[in-house]
Amino acid sequence: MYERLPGRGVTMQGKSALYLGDDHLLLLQESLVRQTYRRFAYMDIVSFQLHPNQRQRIALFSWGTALVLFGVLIAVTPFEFKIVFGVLLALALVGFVMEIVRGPRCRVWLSTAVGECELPSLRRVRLAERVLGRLVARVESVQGQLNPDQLRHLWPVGPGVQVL
Amino acid sequence: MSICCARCALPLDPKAFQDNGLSRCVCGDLVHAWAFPAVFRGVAVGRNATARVESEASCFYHPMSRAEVPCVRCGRLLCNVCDIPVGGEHCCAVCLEPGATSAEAKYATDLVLHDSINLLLAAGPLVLGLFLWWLIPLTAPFALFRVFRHYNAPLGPVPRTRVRHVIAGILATLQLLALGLLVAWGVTKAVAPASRRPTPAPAVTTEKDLGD
Repeated sequence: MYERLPGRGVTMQGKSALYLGDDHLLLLQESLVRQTYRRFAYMDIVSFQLHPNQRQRIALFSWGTALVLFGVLIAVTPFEFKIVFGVLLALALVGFVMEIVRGPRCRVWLSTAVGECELPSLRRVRLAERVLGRLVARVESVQGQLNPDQLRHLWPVGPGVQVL
Repeated sequence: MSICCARCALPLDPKAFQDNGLSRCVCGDLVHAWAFPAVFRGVAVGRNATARVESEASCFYHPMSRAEVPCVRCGRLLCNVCDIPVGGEHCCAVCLEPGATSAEAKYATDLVLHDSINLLLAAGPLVLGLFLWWLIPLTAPFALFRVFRHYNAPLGPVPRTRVRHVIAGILATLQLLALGLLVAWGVTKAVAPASRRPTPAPAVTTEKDLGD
């Protein structure tokens, strides 16, 4: 009935995942003992927004700092401690490499006529673009495409001007 | 009508909606967006119930309103206010209540994961054995009871197996068996010294004693 979409996010409410249904998208939030579902009918989805951000740089800086720190500690500490810091250095190296491999980070929002909802399972640009490609195709198969004339009607007041 | 940035709520630049287009919002965020024709559709307004005249059937929940459709699940007659269209069918709110029966699980908005609770009960004291081992005599029978009680509970709309129930059942059974063996060993140990105590030998009378 549902097809699981790639990506799994972790939020304060627990794990999050997206499922593709026949006529709607299901957003699953799972805590230790409870699952919460939000359904978005393809017919009602107004837009998707992908906001790439700089969090990958922050993560790389953190992992890099850890690498340097553990490297220095290995150099200055006696042999017994070198093993412990060696393991920590290896873990930091894995984190650093994984961060590079998984690519830049982002946040994705889905909006309907009545509100917006963040999709926490889509936190990497490459993954988000792949998943959104499928979702956009599914929504357009239900709603059709916006033509350029219709798109022009979306900005009666011009971009960057607050609508009151 | 405009589509606004999810962070600052200002209208987005048209370039954000072009293929592979990224535009910088006023708030400083880079944005790529996809818009759909639903943006021109307004929010649907709810319907009003119609007043019933004497010869017409009434809504089960509102006797003064005219019945429009029966609920496909329970068959109760519903007015426009009580009618909830779901996937081309008409249901009442009571039938759509989460967890009413397994058939309604696909419309549920939340679900208690009994299998995870059982697994926590069965495995928690083992994982945190240093601190919580003394809870096992309580948690193991309770977990086993819950496994039997909730084994057939709805698993929710997304694919999920009952493997947690099975693992919890096996763990709880093993814990109970271990407890039973421990108790049996303790009882045996306590009883054994009394039974193995050597009985005093019967007094033997010798010929010398008889002579004396």
